[in-house]
Amino acid sequence: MKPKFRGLLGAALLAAGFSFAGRQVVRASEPPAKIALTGARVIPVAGEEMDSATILIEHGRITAVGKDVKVPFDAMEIDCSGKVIMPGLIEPQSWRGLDVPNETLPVAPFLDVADAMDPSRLYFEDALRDGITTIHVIQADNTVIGGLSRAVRSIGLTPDEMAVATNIALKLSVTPRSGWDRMQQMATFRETFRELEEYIGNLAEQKYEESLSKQNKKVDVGPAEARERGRKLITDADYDDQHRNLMRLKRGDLIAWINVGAAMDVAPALKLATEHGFFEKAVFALGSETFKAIGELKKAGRPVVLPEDLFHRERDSVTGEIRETFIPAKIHEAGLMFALQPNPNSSMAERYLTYQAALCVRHGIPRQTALEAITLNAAKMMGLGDRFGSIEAGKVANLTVYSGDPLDFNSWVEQVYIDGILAYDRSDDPRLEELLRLEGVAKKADEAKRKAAEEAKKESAPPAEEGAKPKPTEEAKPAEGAPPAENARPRRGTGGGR
Amino acid sequence: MRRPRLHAPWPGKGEDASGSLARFAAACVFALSLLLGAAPNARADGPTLAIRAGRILPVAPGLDWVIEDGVILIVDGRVAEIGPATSVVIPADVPVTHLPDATIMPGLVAATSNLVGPHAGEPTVSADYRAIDSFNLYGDYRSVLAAGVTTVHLSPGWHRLIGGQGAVVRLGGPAGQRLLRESSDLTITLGESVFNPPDLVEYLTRPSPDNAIQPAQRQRPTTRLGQYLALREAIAAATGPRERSAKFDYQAETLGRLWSERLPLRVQAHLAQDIAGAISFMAASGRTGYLVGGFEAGDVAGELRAAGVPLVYTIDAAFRSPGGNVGSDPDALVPDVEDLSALEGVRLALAMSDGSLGDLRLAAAMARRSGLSERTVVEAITRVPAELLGVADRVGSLAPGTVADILVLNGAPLEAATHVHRVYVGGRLAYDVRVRPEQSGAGIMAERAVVVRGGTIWKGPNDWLSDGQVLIEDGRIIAVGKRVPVPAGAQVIDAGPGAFIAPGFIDAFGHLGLEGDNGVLAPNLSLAPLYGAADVMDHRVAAAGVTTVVAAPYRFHSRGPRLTAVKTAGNDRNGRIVDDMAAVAFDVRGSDPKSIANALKQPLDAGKKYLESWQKYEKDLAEWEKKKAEGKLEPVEKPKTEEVAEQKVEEDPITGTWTVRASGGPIPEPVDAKVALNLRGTQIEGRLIEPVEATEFNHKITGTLSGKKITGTVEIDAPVELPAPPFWEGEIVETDHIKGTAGLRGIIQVDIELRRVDKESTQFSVTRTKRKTTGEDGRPLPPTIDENLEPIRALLTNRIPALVSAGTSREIEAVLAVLADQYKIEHIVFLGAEEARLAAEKLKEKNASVVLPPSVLRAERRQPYHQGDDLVRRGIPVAFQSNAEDGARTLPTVGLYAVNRGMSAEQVLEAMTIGAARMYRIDDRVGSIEPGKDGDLVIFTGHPFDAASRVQRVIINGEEVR
Repeated sequence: MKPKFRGLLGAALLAAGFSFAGRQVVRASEPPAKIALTGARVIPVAGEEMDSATILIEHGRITAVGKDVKVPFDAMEIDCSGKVIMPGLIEPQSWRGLDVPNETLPVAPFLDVADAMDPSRLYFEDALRDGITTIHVIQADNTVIGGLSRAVRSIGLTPDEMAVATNIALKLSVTPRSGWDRMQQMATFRETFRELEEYIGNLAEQKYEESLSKQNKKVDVGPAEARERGRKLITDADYDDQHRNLMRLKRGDLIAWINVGAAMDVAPALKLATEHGFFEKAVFALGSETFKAIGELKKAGRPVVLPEDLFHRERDSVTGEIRETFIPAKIHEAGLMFALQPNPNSSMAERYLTYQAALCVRHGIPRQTALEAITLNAAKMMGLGDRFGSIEAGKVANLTVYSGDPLDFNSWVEQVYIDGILAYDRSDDPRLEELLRLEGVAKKADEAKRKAAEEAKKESAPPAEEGAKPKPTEEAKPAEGAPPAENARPRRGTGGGR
Repeated sequence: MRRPRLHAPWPGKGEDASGSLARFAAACVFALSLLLGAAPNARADGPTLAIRAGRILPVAPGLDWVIEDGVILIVDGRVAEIGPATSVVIPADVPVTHLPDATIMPGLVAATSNLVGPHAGEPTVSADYRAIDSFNLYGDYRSVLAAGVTTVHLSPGWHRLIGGQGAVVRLGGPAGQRLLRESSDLTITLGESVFNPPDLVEYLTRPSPDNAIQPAQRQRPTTRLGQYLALREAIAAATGPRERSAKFDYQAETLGRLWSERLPLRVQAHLAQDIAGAISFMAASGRTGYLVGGFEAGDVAGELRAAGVPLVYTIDAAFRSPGGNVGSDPDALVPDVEDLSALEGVRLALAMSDGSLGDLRLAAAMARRSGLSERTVVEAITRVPAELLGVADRVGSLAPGTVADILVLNGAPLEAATHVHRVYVGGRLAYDVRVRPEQSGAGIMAERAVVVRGGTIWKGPNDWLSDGQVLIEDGRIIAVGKRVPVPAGAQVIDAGPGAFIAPGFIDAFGHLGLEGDNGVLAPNLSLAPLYGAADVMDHRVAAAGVTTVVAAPYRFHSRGPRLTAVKTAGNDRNGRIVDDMAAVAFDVRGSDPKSIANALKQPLDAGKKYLESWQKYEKDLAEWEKKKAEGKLEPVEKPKTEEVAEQKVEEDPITGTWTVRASGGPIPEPVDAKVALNLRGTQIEGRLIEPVEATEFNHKITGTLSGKKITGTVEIDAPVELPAPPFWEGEIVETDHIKGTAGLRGIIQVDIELRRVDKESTQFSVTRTKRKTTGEDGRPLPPTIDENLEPIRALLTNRIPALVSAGTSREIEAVLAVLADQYKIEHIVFLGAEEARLAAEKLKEKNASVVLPPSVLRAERRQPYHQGDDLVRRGIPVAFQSNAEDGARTLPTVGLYAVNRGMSAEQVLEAMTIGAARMYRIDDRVGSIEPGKDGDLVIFTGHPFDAASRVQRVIINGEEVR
């Protein structure tokens, strides 16, 4: 942790010094060794919500949370009264940090997303603005077996600096890649794993031969026995790139992040995971209609990532009736752990994780479950549940400070702390400021137009009393750094005023 | 045979000891069942039900080919018992679906399909490509089920020499029950379609000097000779020992495994040489399997027979659009089902060459051209393919133990006009033709279509059609003929060759639905509101074959009430009313000619004046429109008005003496009383007159009249205090008649019926109004509609007839003199007209007709006299009447008696149908079986007035009366 932390710090200083590419979201101050956030309502996700509680952070880790926590004399106290603090949101899967979503090779387990990540993408800045502190960067679905994924912070200048955990999962897609059919997709899976077996056998035989030749002996057993004996001699370094990660997947060292885009893909996906020993490590990323196989999913009991659009709409082929299903309700009913993802394709509120969670609450899912689905569950799926996803002593201090309840659409993100560093502060967000200023200018222009029209009307009409003149409203003045007017709508791609 | 079901009612809280005992017992049973490993409902794969149908084709060995009136008992989604309705015992708690017109058969099994594939893999030996991988177990296949196909073979394709593994699936039911065989066969294809395999290119992830990029690898076969070489090579490579240096070939390894497992072969080939090659290849390699394709199979029929290899013959039929031109290519395949005649002795299944599923049944039906029997063809699309695909123990036939995949057809399976109505998969209704889009769009699909087939159809008098059919859509007859269109989803009622189909009978004068009410009906009112959804009484009449009743009040108002023609079945008023104003009725019995003339003239004159105002309006309007069209309209400054001096005589509906009859509630017997009521404005005041002893108490009756409704109270100085205030309320149901309730509010309530026996006063009021006669643009405005005179107007314009109740010849002549001569009325019907024979000449001259008295036979000068027979001989049209409510049900028997007493059966049938319809001028809707008329049919076992003939089924507005 230490060296990375220093690297991050250096980057932050660099950013401050050079005003790097106009990005000034990353705060350029080293936090004091101890920070105490006091007075806020705390939603720890793990445990009861607390009013006017204190969160104590030491060296980027949370050391204490509670109402009775005493603020040490040497801690920097930040008054957060009136605010709501919740763990930084976690995006369970995203390829948007990559330059292209996929490689062209169908089976490419030797890839690593780190090679394609671009930290300067506005996406990361937007994520920060929306309260997302951890992102699981993974290849998209147009593949059979894809490369390694990693979890990153929303800040940092290089992929390694951003990383909080590497080699998390291997991407698999049961739903065929574009231009393929399922017969070919499944045959490719079978062939790949059969070939792996064959490769290991050959490797083992070779290793056994080598080990004997070192002792100047010749092979004294049949090939089957030689393979068996040689297996123990293989080290990770012996595998070639193509096979190493597959072997790690089979051994359970990697999570199998399996894209299951349709209901019909569930059974083959389960079979695949069971046959090759990574069932216990499988996470299923569902498509829109996959919930129809809810019986099989329930039986499997593995965690699932829900599609971006939480509603499945289907037209009955005979009656033409449109049926709408709220997917999280079905998944919750089956008792499965699920994570939500924002919908980047929507220009509406669905692009916010908090809205997705609020949508769940509106459809009858308990608030606690919905909150877990945007924080803790994704961390658990990545195997990082002990470090991220909740506000507990011992966890990394990734926090999002909201102006009100996070599931209330009138609240916005005030500050974001990553590793105890103030990573984002709304009052110092030049892009947002520019956006709101433009909104203000537009509003002012509208107001002026309206006034002119009224004047013109008045001239033709008999003169009215002086007092009847419309007063210029407060909102008309664009105030620097002032809270946005209630109807200031965030625009797509530039982040919102929350 | 049925597993015990745990439907023990679980008593709620607060039950007595027996409840908790039951709970305990149920819990014990449940625990026991868990111990035995059989949670009773958990194992049920489907529903339990019985289907009874007109005809069942089980297509199972050991069962009759056809079971007439059979029953299939389905337990947990599987067929438990099948047989004639008389022999299968259906347990009492099993729901029964009765489909008397349906033919039932097992769901079709398609040995080829285009639901998946061809796969996108490139190797010419692609043994590991499994068709099942591409099948959507959760898919919605109702469009295929609609064609009757419930089981299909999934093929990996025809494009590779060794194409992969086929699978067999069902197309309905829960996803978990759809898979029948995951890997049913190894598919090998011979012939041109596999001669062009793509070159194989291997993509290297890390090319290096040791691991060089190889040029694209050519694949075999490219020729006919090469295909056998490639096949033998592939099998040898797959089954022989593998050299260590050889590259790992997964497809070859899979082929080796499948070959050693002896998976049946499915060899797809069309040309005679390829088929012959396939036969010898299978013989040489010692494998079992079947052939698919076989356009030229007829040429190698001998080899096929000798080898005993079954064939799935694929039919190449262009149903939906004409096929392309073959041109002059001598090698082009022109397959023809007629070639199948050569294949006698070969085990044959039928399928479609392009794998389409929508027309399999029709294509198979066409295969009979080669001389195949119906039985062979039906088996070739059900049981035989099921056997070839190795799933005959579950699908392809209906026998105890098979899954209940059932087709419900509306006719014989191989008839072109037959449709699939329902499909059950595993006993669940998976397709139903009645489920349709909400907005199917008018004119695209009939909501309800019925086709009735019968031995004889009586289209009209002396117009019999033998072996005919009638199509009814949405309640109307669309077509009558030897063969009518059968729309998809049409109910087909096959009445059998002996049946006689007649139009529904018409009761020319009845009182259906009046329930003994002998009130007088004012001319501005109609009986139509009496008729809503048909009740038991109506049903009795309908079931006898009487489908239309001309309903009349028991007594006629002097100003001519209207009669209503109404259907005896239907679910709403609109569907039941044939004509709200079928006739205007008069009663002249017992009057002398002079008073007859006076009585008739009074309403007729008023009507004539009313009619003239309409005629003037129509004339003015026509003139105005003509002027407008010519552009000669003069601008109008102000709409014209006229003074209307209207003397309105309004009867006071309340004031007078009323008899009161209270009944119901706690009163054991009806109690009579008398009250005097007085109306002032809308306030009613009154007091009791009788019984005298009750008048001792100081009391006052008050009430309020609003419209026809009355609500009021009774104030009494009672010797004891009443627990609740007394009230009365009612409604003026007709003049001088109030019906309602009275009692103590919330405690006692009795029905009361008041009739006015004495009127004390009548209010007169004269109103004078100004009425616009032209609109803003000078357009003449129509006169005010007077509902009281509308029937007379319709009569004077000869739209409806006058029904005159008359007896003697003097009366008849007097009526004719007034109506026909004076008022030029063309349609006159006499009711009764017992002395009609004496006025026969006059009646004939004026085209009048007679509704015969209810009793057709009476004594005249001590001789039996049949008035109907007599009048028909004299050329006067007659009709029959019931003069009863549900007594109309005996009308057909009355008709039979008329035949017995001299009229011909044809004459009686005419009088009961089109004759009566013509009298009331409703022959545009009822009375005969012609396109455009209402779908009212009665199916008899013989001619309706043959004594041995009985009513089998009755259809009213296209819907069967059950």
